[in-house]
Amino acid sequence: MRTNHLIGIAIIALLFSSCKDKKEDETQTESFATLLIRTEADLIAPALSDFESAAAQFADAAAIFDVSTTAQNLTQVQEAFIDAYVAWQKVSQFRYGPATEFDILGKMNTFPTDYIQIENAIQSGLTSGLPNATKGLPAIDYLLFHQPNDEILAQLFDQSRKNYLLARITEVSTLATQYKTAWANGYKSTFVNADGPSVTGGLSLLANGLIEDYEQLKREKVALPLGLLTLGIELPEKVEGYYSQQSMTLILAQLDGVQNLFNNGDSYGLDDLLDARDAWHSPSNMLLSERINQQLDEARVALAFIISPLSEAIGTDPEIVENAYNELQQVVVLLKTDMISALGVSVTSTDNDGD
Amino acid sequence: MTDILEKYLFKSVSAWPLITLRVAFGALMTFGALRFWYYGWIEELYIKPTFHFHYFGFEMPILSEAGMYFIFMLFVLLSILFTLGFFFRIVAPLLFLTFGYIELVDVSTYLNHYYFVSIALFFFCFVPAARMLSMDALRKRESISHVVPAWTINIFLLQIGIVYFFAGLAKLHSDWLIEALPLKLWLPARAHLPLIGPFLENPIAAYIFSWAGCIYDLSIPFILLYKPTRVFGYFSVVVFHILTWILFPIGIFPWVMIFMTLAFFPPEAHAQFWKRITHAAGTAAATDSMSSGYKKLVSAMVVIFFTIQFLLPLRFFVLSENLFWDELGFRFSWRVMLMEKSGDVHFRVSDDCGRTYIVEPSQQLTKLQYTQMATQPDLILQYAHHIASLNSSDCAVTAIHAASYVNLNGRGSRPFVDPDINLLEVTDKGDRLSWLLPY
Repeated sequence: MRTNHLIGIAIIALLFSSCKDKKEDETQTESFATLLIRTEADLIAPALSDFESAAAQFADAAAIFDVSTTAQNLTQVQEAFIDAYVAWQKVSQFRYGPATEFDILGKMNTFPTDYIQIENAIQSGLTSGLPNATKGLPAIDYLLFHQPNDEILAQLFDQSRKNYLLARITEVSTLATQYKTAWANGYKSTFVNADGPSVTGGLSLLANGLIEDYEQLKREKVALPLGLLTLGIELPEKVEGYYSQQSMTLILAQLDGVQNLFNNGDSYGLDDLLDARDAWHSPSNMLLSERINQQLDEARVALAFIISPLSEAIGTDPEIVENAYNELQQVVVLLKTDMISALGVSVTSTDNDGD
Repeated sequence: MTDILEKYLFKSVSAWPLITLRVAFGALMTFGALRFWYYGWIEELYIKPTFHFHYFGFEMPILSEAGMYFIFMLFVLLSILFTLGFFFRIVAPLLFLTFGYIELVDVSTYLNHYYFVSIALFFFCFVPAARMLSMDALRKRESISHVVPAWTINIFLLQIGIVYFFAGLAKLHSDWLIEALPLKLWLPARAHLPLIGPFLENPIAAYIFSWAGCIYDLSIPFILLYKPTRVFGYFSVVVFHILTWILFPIGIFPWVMIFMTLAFFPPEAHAQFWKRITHAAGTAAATDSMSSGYKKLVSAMVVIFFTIQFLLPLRFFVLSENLFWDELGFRFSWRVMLMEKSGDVHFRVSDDCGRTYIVEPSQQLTKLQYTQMATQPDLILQYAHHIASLNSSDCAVTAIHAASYVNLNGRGSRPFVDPDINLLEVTDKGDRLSWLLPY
C-alpha cells in the first residue's frame, strides 16, 4: 500500500508542479521553438536569397556573354559561376522539404559530371530531358573550364554548345528561385511548426540535415578522391569543381555553411540550444558547443594546409589530405553521437524501446 | 511444495480470462501487423537491407520480396483466425513460428516488446484459449469444459510480473535514479506537447518520471495481485502506458500491456463482461481429470521455463563489466527505455597487397541497422567479418580495425572498440571485454 501512496503523491506532485512552474518554463519552451524560428529567419532565408541572387547574376553574365561572346565576358561568366557555386555550399544543408521535393541536391550538384554524355547531347542538339550527371553546377564547371580559356571561347562559338551551356545556367537560376520561393511560401511555416522529436520534426530535420551534409563533405569531397574508400586507388577526377580547380574554395565554403548553421551567427542556434540543455563534453571538459566549434576550426586549419588544387594535392601530399580527413571525421563523431544525444532526436522512423 | 503447485498450477478455474487474452492479443497482433505494413516497414526492415545481422551465429534463410510479403499476409490471416479461435490448436503454433521467423531475420530489429510477444505466443501454443466464444466451440457439437487448470492463466501473470519487475530492477541504477538519465535528455525534446509539454523541459520532470517509473515497475505486479488495490493498479497501468505512448515512439506495446494485464482480474469479472456483450451460456461444471504424469510434466516445464526467465536478466552479473557499455547480457532482460546511446563507426581494412582503405557502413546498411550496430559490440564484430567476406579483389583481407565512438547517456563520445585490435582475429565467441575499450 505504501508504494501505492507514493505513486499517488508522485502524480499529484506532477500535476501541481506543472501549474506552479509554468511561468518559468514558458521562457524555456520559447528557446525550443525559437531555434526553428530564428534559424529560418536569420540563416536559412538569407542563405537562400544569397544563392538566388548569385545564380541570377550568373545568369545575367551569361546573357551578356551570349550577346557578346568575348574573352572578357567569358571571364565574367566564370567568376559569376564560382560565386554561385560558393553560395550553393551554404544552402546544401537544408536537405528536406523543398530540397527533396525538387531533388535539388541531385539537379544542382551531381559530380563527377558525365562529360561523355554532355558531349553527345551537344552533338545531337539535346538540351532537355537529361540525367542529373549532365547538368547542374558540375556540368557547367566542365563546360567553362575543361580547356584553357582561349579554347573554351573558341568552342563556345559553336551555337549548339553555347545553347547547352545557357540552358544549364538558366536551369540553375530557375531552380534557385523555385527553392527560395518554396521555402518562403509555405514550407517555412511547416518547418517552424514541425516541432517534436520525431523524424519529421523540425529539430530532427535541421540536425540530421546538417550531419548528412557534413558527412557528404567528408566522404565524397575528401575521402573518395583520396582513395580511402576505394582500395587506396586515388580518384582525383572525382573532386568537386575538378575543372575550375576550385575544390578547396568549395569545401571551405561548405564547412562555413555547416558551422554558420550550427551557430546561426549571433542569433539563437543549435549551439545555444545545446548550452541551454547543459550539454557537456566530458572527455575534453568543455561545453559541447565549444568543443564542436573548436573541432570545426581544427578541421579548417588542417584543410588550409592542402595546397590547391585538391586533385593534385591528393597525389603530391596524400598524408596532408588524410590528416584533414581525420580532423573532419572527429567532427562527425561529435555531431552524430554527442549533439544528437544531447538534443534527444536520435530517433529512427520505426518503433523503438530505447535499447 | 506440492500444495503450492496444486494450488497455483492445477486448481480448476474458469477459462474466461484466457478468452479475454486470446481476443485482445489476437486483435492487437492483427492491428500491429497491418500497421507495420502500412508504415512501409516490411520494405524498410526486410527488403531494403542487403545484409542482415544474425542471432546466435546462425543465419535465417532470407525470403524474396514476394516471400516476405507472403509471410506478413500469412501472419495477418493467422492472427485473425487466432482472434476468432478457429482451429486454435494449429493456428497458435503456426502464428508463433511465423512471428518467430520474422523476429529472427535481423538482430537490429530486436525489441523487448517483440520478445514479450514471442513468449506470449509460445504460451498460447499450450493453453486452451479457444474453449468459449470461438469458431472451435461452435464447430464442436459436444459441450466443452469451461474450466482449465490454473497454470494456463498463471503463467501469463507470472510472465507479466517478470517483465515489470525486471524492468524495475534495471532502473535501480545511479544514472536512472540520481541523474534522471536518459529521461533528462529525452523529455525536453517533447516540449511541444500540449499541457504537459512546458513542464517536460524542467529537470524536475525527469526526476519525477524516473522515480515514478521505477516504483511503478517494481510494485505493479503486486498491486495487481492484491485484491483491494487491483482496480487502482489497473487504473495506473492505463495511465502509465498511455503516458509512455504519448511520450515515446514505442508503437503498440502500451496497448499490449494494457490488454494483457486484464488477466489479473478474477474469472468472474471476465465471465460477467463476456456474458453481458455476448449472452454466452453459463459455465459448465465438469472438471478435467489430470493424470499424475500430466502434472509432473507441466510442473517440470513451468519450473524450467521460469528458472530461465529469472536467470536470463541476471546473467550480466557474471558476464559484464559495464552493462550499458559492453551490453553483455543486455538483450532478453527487459531493459527498456534505459539509456541514450549513440555511436559512429567505420572500418579500416588492410589486405595482403599492402593496401589500406576505409569502409563506411552507413553507406551499405539502412539507417536503423547502422544506428543499432554503432552502439552494439557484437553487431560491429559481425559486420567486420561480413566486410571480409565481401572482398572480391585478388588480395586477401588481412585485418579489419574499427574506428568507433559511442556516447552513453549524453556524457560525451568516447572510443568504443579498441582500434588496435584486428577484428578478424576475434571470433564470435571471443571475450568481448578484451577487444572493447573500458568505459
